[in-house]
Amino acid sequence: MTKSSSQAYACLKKGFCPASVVLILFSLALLCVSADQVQAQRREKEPKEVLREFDFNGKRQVVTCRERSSSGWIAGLGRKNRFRAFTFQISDLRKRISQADKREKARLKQRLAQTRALASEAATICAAAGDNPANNPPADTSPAPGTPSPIPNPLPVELSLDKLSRPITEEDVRWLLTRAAYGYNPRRHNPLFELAAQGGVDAVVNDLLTEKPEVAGLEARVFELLDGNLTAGTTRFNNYTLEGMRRAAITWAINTNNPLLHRLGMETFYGKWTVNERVFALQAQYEIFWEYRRRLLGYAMNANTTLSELLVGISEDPAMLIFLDNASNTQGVPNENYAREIQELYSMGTSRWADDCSRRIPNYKEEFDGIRQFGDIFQATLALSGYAVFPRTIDGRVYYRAVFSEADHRPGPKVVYRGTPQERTIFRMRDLVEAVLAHPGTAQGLATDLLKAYVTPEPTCQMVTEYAKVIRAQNYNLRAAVSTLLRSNLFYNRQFANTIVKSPLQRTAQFVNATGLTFTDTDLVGRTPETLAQEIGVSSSGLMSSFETQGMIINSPATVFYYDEKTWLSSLTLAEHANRLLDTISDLTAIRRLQGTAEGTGDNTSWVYLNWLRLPGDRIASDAVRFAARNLNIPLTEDEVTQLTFYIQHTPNNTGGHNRTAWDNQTTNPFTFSGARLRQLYTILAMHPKFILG
Amino acid sequence: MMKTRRQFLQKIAVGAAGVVASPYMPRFFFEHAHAQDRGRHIFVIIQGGGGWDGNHWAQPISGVAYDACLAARPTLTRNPDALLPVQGVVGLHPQLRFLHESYLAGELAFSTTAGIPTNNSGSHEVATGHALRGMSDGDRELPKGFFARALDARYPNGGAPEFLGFDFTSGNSVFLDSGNRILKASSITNYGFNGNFDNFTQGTIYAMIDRAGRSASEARVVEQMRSLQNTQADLRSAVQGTTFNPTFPTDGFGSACRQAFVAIANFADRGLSAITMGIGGWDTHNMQDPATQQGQPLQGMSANLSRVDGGLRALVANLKRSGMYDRVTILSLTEFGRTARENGGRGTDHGKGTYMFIMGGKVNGGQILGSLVDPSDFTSNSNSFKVTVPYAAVLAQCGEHMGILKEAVYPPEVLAALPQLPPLFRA
Repeated sequence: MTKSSSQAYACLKKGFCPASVVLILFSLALLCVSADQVQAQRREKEPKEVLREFDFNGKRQVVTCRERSSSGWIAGLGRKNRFRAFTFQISDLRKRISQADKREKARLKQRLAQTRALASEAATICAAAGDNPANNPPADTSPAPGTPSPIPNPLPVELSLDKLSRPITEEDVRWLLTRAAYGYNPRRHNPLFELAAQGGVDAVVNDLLTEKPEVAGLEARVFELLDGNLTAGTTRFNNYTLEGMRRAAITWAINTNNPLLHRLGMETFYGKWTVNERVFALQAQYEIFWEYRRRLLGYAMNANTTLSELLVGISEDPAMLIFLDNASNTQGVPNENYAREIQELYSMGTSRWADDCSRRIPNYKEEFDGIRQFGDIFQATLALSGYAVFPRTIDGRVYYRAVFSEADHRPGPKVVYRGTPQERTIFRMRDLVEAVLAHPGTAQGLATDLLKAYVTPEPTCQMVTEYAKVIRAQNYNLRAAVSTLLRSNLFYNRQFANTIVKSPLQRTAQFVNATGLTFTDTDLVGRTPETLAQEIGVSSSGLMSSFETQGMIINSPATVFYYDEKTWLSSLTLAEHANRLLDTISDLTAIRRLQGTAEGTGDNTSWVYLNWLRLPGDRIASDAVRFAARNLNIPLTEDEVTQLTFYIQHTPNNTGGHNRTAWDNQTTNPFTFSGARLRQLYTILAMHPKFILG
Repeated sequence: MMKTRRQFLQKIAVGAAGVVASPYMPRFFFEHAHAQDRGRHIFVIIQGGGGWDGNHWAQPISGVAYDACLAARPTLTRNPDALLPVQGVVGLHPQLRFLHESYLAGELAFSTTAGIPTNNSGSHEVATGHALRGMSDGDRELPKGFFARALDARYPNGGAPEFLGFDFTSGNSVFLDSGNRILKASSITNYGFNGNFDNFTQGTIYAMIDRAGRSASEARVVEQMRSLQNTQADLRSAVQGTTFNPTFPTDGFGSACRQAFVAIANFADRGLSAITMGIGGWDTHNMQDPATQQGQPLQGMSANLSRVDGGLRALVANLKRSGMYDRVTILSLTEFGRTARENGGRGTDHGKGTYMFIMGGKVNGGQILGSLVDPSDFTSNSNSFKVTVPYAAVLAQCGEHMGILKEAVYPPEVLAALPQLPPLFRA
């Protein structure tokens, strides 16, 4: 209490005094003024109402749209004091249902369903057509595709998306193969060096982005592998197995003639637009999962694929419809799962950078004005409704196909990105895809994911916004976007070396490639899938369980975000990685033949680098180290070369020490006794952080 | 023969050098240097990936709340008679028999409206980050998971023992972005290099790791490899030497519980403070809990709840048998709850408030934390259950039970907004 008010209170307590009268009168006046103001405010706050008419189930309906706040509308019946929002009516009906007897309950439930449907329709109509700002949606102020947007602090040349501004080197080619494909194979990829020297970065990237026929027999072998239980009399179709699909994926990755495109489709695209094999309950459905993976590979192989085409395609794909439950998203019974992920995971993400990189802006809203049904997830859910997946049997084979049913689709307009410059009235899935593509968050989302896959796990705002600008200018052509990135100064900037965690699949494929083994080796053709798999390190069970221990169950990502790369770097994972690679390289018939070749007892054509290793002179041990490191694309320091040379020059003895070997003794053929050491050298190098990371 | 003073000192020096050079040196120093870490309390955190439906763990069974639940979830609401009643107001899912027994024994407390009150995102990724950090505060996020912050606070100047925590999850955990001393492994049963790697080869690998560069990712590889080097022998002997009675279920969660027990039984007095275990499959947009016929395997949430209950029953029984239960607290976290109303696929979409439990030998159990589900939530516009028990309120008490001031792990504005919960731990 202040001093003056205390005095007035004391005066009143004593009895009458002039100061008290003044104070009381003043207070009364204040009260009157306040009451007037409150009334005026109340009048101002009196909600605006508009009547809206529309057809519902063949009848003309009149609803009242009441302004709930400055930016949102709520639908109901009756006007002014008689206004009753649908939400209250529904709530009331539910309460009555819970108290009603059986007969009455059925009637009320029917009424509840009708009211819900009407309410939902009316809510959309009110939101879209009320005389609020949403009635006249502001123009989309985000830059149109191709329009340059302001980028603060333009990227320096070495971080720019401009074409590589220096000649591409052999090291760059190895870098490209390691970062964007499955590593360098000395027997396959040496022609790229010549191509690089003659045609520069364009020639190399064009070559890798041009689809080539797969090596003879590989596709047939992959197809055979899909069916792990193929025996005489069984039907291959509808008989795919999870094990078979995993083995097929690994075998294909290691042996493909299109490593860059394969990884783009089977890992980069699959990592972003993931579907998990686990959700397919019936074996007959496995085939649609595999077809989904092939679809993504097809998008990678096709130079003209746009994001629009991809999003429409996967939205209608039976595998995706099952995976994210959109097959059960029907009129009146919405399921939000796919509607959320098509925005969050498959296009724009939860937020984007502001143009000046000062902050991140939410891309969509869960609720609008406190109402979930007006939020972007729910509105998109309505637009996506009506799809289902049905089996159809023809000649004993079950086909699953996606079907759109008008009856199951929620008709009428839906509004997404309400209250933002991106606000749009949409009706169906394709409208939603258009709205998503027009949203500035989408180019940033795609840019971020491609940069994370190929450049750095932590792209800066400038990188993202600059690349997003390019992606929009290219009208979301996916191959063009990737092609631009793989030719750029940014991609070849070694500042980002050893920052991306390779997946266990990439590590294995790169390792096998580095040994020089290829599917075309004559002694590998004509084997059964099982022995073939073993010989390229894909034993039917060992590698599968090893991949699982390493945190990568093939075809079954840990979450809807794909895999968590931190798992691929745990101590357990790394030990398992080493164990498996050593087992693999020890198991390889061809590696065993490696010794035979050197000893003159075996084929002397398959392992060309062995001849190279038999260089005369004292340098042989360190040359072996350098050669192996280069194949694995590990730039060793001289210190490391010395250490590893010492390693292969010695073997442990029984007393805990180590003895010198004959690696540096040219009077003895080193391969007679050093095959194991060579294998271990490869394995040690595969544990190098520069191999674990990309 | 008389020794000169110089000869005596030389002998002592040689002996000391022998001890230092001994292969037993690390263990010798370790065991004595961290005597203060004996008897630490250990937290076992269950992370439910996908956002579980709290109303399915514990459902209203009486009054207006039950009526509202039935109206909003006509296919998911269970008959109260089929549930395990608690205080006559909610019923635990029938698969949660052990949790129910623990509640009745006064060893388990739970909330049906727990979560992150300031999280407004339905994104798994965003909400998981908030949950693991134990808070969200607009755009500002604390850099580490809750237990990483707590353990940092315990050892502000380093000197942490070898095993601060085991992370058995398949991804991020409450040790989010934590530094050393957290062993991340999906399994410790077959941990380490196999017999093809002789000591010389392993030594060369470790030496090469030490020479590696130090980008953030490289540093992580090096950290994990050092962890492997330091822990491989200990873990192998621990796994081999631990006995189980009763045995653990063979499913993934049962296996995680078994490994948690191995870790506790062997490393409880060596600084171990927290373990995380993950269990996924809670993102139940469709067919959340399909009915199964007698003799058929459980599906959906029933199967998952059964796994949780079975794994915990074995873990707690083994802990009690070994006299460790008083030193262990088990609590659960998930990124968010589900919608109050079921969707058309007999499932639920992403919501807010959800179920959380805390159990242990020292837990002040037998109580329901915070408010029960508000019946009006079943018809609310947000279609979600309100959060009345912020994870931070529970975690702050856990921190205090670890001897860490809550001010050391939460900013003052977060603490100021927390509701007062009853004490979760007995003295």
